[in-house]
Amino acid sequence: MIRKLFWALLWLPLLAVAEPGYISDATDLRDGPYADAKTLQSLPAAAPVEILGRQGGWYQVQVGQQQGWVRMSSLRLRAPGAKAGVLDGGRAVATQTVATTGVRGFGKGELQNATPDVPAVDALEAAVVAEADARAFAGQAGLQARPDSGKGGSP
Amino acid sequence: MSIRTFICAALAGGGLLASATAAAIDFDLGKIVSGVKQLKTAVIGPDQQEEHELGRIAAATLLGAAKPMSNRELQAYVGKVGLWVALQSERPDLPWRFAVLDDNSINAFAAPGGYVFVTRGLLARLHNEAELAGVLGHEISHVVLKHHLKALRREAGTQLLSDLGSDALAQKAGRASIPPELLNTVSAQAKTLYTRGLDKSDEYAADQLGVQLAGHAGYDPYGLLAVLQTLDSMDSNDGSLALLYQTHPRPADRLAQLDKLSEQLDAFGQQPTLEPRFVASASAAVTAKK
Repeated sequence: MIRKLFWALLWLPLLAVAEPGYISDATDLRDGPYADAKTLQSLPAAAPVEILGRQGGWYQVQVGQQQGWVRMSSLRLRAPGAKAGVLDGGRAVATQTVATTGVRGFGKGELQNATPDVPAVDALEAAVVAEADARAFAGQAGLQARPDSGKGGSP
Repeated sequence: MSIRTFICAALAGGGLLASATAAAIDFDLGKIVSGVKQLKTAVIGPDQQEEHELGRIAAATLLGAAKPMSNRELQAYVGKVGLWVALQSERPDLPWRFAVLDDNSINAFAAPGGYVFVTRGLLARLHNEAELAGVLGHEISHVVLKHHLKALRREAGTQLLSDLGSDALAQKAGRASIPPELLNTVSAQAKTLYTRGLDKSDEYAADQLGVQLAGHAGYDPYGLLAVLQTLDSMDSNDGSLALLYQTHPRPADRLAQLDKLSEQLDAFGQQPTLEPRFVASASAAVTAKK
């Protein structure tokens, strides 16, 4: 009983931030974040789930009474059929921009009417980050560059 | 002589000079370091000088639409994440400049030569440092792959570039004023580029390299994918997404392209997202003005 309560409490912070997700294409709920993990159940497209967390390319989800893992690419954060936008040559287009510029931020019009601000660019020089500071900052968090970095190749 | 060799020689020379005069004059390392920095800028070749000047005008154009936020701590935080990711690229020695723009739109921009901007509106929708690294990695990749530079060169033609080249070289590394005609011409081209967008293939290439750079920097490489899922979940009629959607493929299409990388990325899957540091350094600063 105490053990059960302990495990239940352990999940509390996760449950508190759980957000809804939807299966985009039929997929399997697995018992670990691995492609060869045991299948717990098959989930049909559009099935709603609660997202508990993410580890790399896998979401941990709650489906009914069962918890498991699904591929990130099998899940969307919006209900199927909701919005999707108007398509224009393969690009999604936001059609209604009725809100004021301050609320929606700058768009095409503001950019076209912008006066280039060269002093603002040159002012960026004052806030340059030194390479040593960036390396120390990464080190503080335990970030380690991969040995094959700097080649821009595939990992 | 390469830049590195030149700098080493300059450092050695500076060291000799310093030791020779140390008895009489205070040894001022700061001055030598700043002197070397100037040399580093001064000895870059004409191609890189042209890239830098085109980028300076393109960046000035973007800063004409939105100003950097005044929060220095936030700017330094984003700058350190950005430089750390950029150091993993093929062009670690560029003069990288990162800034958060004080604007509600959800967007990020790159300009030739190492300028990277992210809006407050986008920053406010991120959840952790790995997502920020993914966004910055995408923009860094545009610079590394010279996407905007090539597009501006295509528009500009050779005459303008030779003017720019000779003019820029005459200025050396100084922050001299840009001739108005040149500023107007290049700025107009930059406006066209930033409102029309790059080729879709350039965006997909920047997604792919950006994810890899974030992974190489030690972050969970799925950060950019998580950001694209967030964007995908938003109402595409949201005006703050207008320019982003006019200039980029749909988030769902970008996710589908990135899914092809998933087998490679799983090797990086255990790397951290650094959510606590992001929340402490950025979340409060950007949500306060949301």
